Amino acid sequence: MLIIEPIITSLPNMCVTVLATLAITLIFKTSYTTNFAQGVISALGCYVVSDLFFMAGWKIYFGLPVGILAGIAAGLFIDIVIFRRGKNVNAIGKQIITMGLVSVFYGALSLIYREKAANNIKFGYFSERVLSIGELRLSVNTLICVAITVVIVAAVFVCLYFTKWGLGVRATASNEVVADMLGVNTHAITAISWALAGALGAVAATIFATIPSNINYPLFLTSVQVNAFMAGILGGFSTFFGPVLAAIIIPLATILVRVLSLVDGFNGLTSWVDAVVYVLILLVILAKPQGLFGKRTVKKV
Amino acid sequence: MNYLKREYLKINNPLSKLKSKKRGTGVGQNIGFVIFGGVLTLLLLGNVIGIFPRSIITTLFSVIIFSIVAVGYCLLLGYAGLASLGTAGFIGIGIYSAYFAMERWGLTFSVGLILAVAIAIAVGVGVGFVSLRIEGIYLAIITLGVSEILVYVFKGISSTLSLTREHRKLFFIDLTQTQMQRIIFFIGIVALIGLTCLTKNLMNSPTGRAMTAMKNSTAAAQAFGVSLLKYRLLAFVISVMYAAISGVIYFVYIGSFMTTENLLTLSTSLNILGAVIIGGTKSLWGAFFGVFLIYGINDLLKSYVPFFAKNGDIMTIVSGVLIVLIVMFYAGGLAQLVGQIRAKARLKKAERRLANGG
Repeated sequence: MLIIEPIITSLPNMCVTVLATLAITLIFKTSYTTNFAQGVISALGCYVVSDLFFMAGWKIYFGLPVGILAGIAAGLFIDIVIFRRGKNVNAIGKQIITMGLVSVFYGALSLIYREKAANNIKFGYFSERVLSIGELRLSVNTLICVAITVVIVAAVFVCLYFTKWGLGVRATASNEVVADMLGVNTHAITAISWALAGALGAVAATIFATIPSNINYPLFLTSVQVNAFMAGILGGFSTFFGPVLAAIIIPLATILVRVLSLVDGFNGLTSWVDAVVYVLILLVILAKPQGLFGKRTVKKV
Repeated sequence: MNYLKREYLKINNPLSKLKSKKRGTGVGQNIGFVIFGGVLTLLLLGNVIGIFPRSIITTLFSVIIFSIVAVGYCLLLGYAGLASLGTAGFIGIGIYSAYFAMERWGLTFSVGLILAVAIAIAVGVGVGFVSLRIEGIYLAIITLGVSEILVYVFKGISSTLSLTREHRKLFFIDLTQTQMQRIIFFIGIVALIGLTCLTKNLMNSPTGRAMTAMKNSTAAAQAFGVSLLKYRLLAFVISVMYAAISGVIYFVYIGSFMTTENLLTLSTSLNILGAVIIGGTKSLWGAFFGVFLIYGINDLLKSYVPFFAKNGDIMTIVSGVLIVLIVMFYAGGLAQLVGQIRAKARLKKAERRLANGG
């Protein structure tokens, strides 16, 4: 009981991290860059949903698809306008481009949303009902969030492993030049990957905003993004399921450490939970640099 | 061009002079920086006498502080080819070391400085060792996480402690607020010029050349016996140290934690990155100019132009756009632009000399 309740309360956060991690892994494998702009693109999608709610009264079920479209548009814009032209930029350069994009979106969102009310992201929940199963109180909102996440993640994995696009993604991830030579349309692959990342981000940000305990303005999702990157490193970027599993493991580990800090001897840990989990991740990486589920790659010169 | 001109230029190519210009670690390299320091000191004296208002000095101070950080970042990005997003957290290391040393323990500024440098080296070695063993691109992710954790820890500290400095001692002499600020300003100038000259010498030394080799081709550098981990770690630890030093000086000048919350954010790290890239990743003067653009001109515009006062984030957007454009199309930044203008001027001068003589 002591463990089950915190797990249930942290389920929405877990969903957010899983979606964000999947988006970041997708971009890492196809564009070979860590997408630092993931948080702000997701925020863009979420702001669109919130705008529709406040200005037009659209409930979240109707606003979310539009938010997803906004995320897709942002992702496509970034890929087509920027990354497609930056073919000769090296890996660090691409990272820096995404960092520059963070600045652009950061400034733009702050500019547009400064005058509006501070809490304008609070657009209500999917549902306000709360179920009681025995002693547990389970909010329907959580169930819906988990359901949406599971469906989306399952759909992405089905596409990755059973469709032609998925085959193309895995080929591009393995070796972009050879994939291109073999006729895989790498332009379409990266464009769809970025669009998907934008869509996943929009859903993640919307779920994030429905969690009551999150501070919502300004919504830049930096902490979510950091957690997603950590999950990616812990899981190892050489597979797709590795980071997603790690995205589930990290919140579980946080809960375990928090429960541990309730034990009498470890009371000092309470305010250091995040730091402890972080150090544990670094120790794992020290021992296994490719990540928990990663494969060791040998570069040939 | 006629035949004679072509032959002359083949032998006496003015562009070849450019290649041999920047060499050596003698006085000539560093005189420029010392003169720059002199100019800054004159500006400080201008405030002491009363010519310049306080606000200009404060803006100038923030430019100096962030220039120190940018110099370290320039070494990291331009020479070791690594990007780090932990700058804000590392500045925080300096701020809180200074607080603990001076306020909590009643010691002097120098102790704060030494403490900050020690913690910076420890953090730099720890983080760098873990992340640089995998691949260079993971440094950005891990430093972002480290910065988040550090800022989280710092927020925990400052919320439970008193916020203002009472011990206004510097080398055991009690001073007023203004006197303290002016002395710290001057110490900041000295630190900036000293660290810049140090970095310039490092860049032109065998260490700097090893870093450049490593940045250009890791495989070739390793074949020549350059240890990737050692030089990457060195560059990273130096950049963390510089950020911590600037944090110490910042805290002693400002004297309280009022502005810390705005300072220790991701924006600061992105601004430093932008400053270094806009100026040119390998150029120290470029780093100064970038910092001046992002912090100095931004502050001046915000104070004197109403449009910018209302829409303060325009500079963030501008710097972001510039970062993307420069990395994609014009990798050398402002320094490359200046270099090309100077090369064209020299070519014209040579042609004119040829036309006059021939």
